[in-house]
Amino acid sequence: MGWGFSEKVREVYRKAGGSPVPNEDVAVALDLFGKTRARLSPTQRDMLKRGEIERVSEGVYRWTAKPKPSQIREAMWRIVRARRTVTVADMVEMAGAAENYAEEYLRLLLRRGIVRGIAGHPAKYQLVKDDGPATPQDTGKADRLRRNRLAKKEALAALDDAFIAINRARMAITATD
Amino acid sequence: MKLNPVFTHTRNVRNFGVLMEALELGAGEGRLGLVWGQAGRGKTRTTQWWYANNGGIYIRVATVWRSSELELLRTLCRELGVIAPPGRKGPAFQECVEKLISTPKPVFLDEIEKMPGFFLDLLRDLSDLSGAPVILVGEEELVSAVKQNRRVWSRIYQQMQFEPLEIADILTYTSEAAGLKLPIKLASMIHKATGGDFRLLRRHTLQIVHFCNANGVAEPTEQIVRTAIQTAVTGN
Repeated sequence: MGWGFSEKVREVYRKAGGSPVPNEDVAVALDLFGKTRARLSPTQRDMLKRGEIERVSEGVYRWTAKPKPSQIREAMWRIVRARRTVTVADMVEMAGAAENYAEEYLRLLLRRGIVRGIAGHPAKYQLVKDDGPATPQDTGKADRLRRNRLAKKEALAALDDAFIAINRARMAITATD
Repeated sequence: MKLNPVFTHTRNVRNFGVLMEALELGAGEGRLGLVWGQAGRGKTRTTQWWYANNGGIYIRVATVWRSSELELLRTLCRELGVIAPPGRKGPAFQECVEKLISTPKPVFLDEIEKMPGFFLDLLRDLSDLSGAPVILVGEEELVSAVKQNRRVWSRIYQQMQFEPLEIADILTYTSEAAGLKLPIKLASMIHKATGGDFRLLRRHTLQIVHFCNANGVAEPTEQIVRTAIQTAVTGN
């Protein structure tokens, strides 16, 4: 089974979506018995070390690995579109986002005019501009980096020009001597 | 002590996951899923949670669409990435089928019981022709509406009812959301007071947390739980 084995085990836990999974269920799902079943234990140990699963009780583990930020952003956007009016708590609860991250994301949507705050309910946001299922991206950081790169390029070019001018001046002085 | 926003994997949530997995097994074949239950049992929240974390199409049906299927089809078109959905039923339906064939994904229709019966035929055709699973989510009257239409009923591959919460669900929720270690007796009191309704459970738990904080105790007493139940706003 090689590399694929741990992936298959991971898939069983991932599919359970955080519900406790007894070892018997993993064995049945992957058709493990006898010697092949013995491979389960070291794989679970590795997954425990990496924080992908946690022990619920003897022989029962559940999936805990955190999704990537892009997946969380996508999930948050789906929540906004499905519910139309959302709170930070909705994002934390249903998309698995950290509170700060959910706040930051809703502020981004607010700045872009995609959601608006509801008067009298400071923690609630309402979707007002739905551009479709594609997740609005946070391009602020990328724009800043692009501007920095351009400024650096211009500064280096100016520095090169200055060096050339200095060398020319030096040569001119040497020539006069 | 505070009430943290957590998504608890109750028995209903686990059953919903099983239903989705079972629907996945018949990939490429038209199939319908039926999810029903009384209001307050967590159908919509569970559906939205699954959709948010796994993708698909989620549409909350609007009563204003009752007279014609066009608005539903146009909404579905938009969800499938059609920039300018056709203004007539036939082309809009065709567009949906083509998009679902090229990128198959589950389609969730929440509160579909508000629609007349011919919508169910439309969704059956959509699932048959595209091979995408269509999951109908609604309250109890949805079951009788589906059963009345034999062709739709025969295509229901998976169905589940959102049952009232169990005591085990109450123990899990109060522990995960508020860190409470409730004895069975107190959990049973809450179970009885909520009638297995998730919204009420949340309100009662919040009230218990408030009372615990006000009394400066880490674990609720029977008196605290009783007062919390009596004072929580339940809408009854």
